[in-house]
Amino acid sequence: MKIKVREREGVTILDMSGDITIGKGDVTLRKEISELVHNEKKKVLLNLRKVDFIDSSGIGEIVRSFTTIQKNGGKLKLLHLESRVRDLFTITRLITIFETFENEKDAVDSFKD
Amino acid sequence: MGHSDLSLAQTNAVETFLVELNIPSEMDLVNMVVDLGTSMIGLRGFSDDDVSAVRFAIHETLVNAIKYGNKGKTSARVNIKFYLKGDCFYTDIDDEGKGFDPDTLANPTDPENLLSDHGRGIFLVKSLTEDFSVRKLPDKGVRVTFCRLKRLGNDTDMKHKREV
Repeated sequence: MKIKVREREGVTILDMSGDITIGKGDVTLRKEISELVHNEKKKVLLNLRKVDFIDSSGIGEIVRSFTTIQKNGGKLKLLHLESRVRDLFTITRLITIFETFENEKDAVDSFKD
Repeated sequence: MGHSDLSLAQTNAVETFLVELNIPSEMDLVNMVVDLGTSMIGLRGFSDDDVSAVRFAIHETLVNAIKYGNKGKTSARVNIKFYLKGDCFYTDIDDEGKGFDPDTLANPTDPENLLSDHGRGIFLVKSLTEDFSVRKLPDKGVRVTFCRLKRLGNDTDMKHKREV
């Protein structure tokens, strides 16, 4: 799994690609979130458009990222959940916790509220 | 979930053996097994949703067998069997561990567990499959079994199961 980090109007966007699975993507994401917290980034958007497969460890890591950013006074939101990833978030009811967007501009604007 | 999802015709259908493999407990082999299972179900007329559900279920169950069942000891083996019964694609995954009671696992959708960073794997496998069971094997070890019933048309059945 690869993560490309960019900024748009004060929002840190993580463009993720590949699989988020145990021992691979989950570790990469944890390191990246830790770096963001260290740099006091408080508006974080995970772009999952190019995530092909996610397992329960990957889901757990996204939840951990959400709580870590929140504990540090920030917000983490999700962009472009592929339908099968969305299914997993629906079954586990995480869809009720996360703010999700299909449009990047809408997602970025939502941090201005 | 479980047997009640399947008709008697499905559960009594003749078993068509597809393939069986026995691997050491190495995480690097998980993708190979998942690819084999999903290739087989894809070749037998199951939908993309079925393939996706089976991919997730094999991955999760195999990772559990290696990590928790065999506690990561590479010398401990995992046996995987794929077979068809009627319109159900079955997977058996055997490890050398003591097993677990799937009915006593915490529900990850309960409000107090919703923000936990673990505990969703088996719950999701049970949600995406039918006839899920965990049984002790006669000599040693445990067998986890699940099947995916071929969906007709869209994904309505799966959506129904999610609401259960």
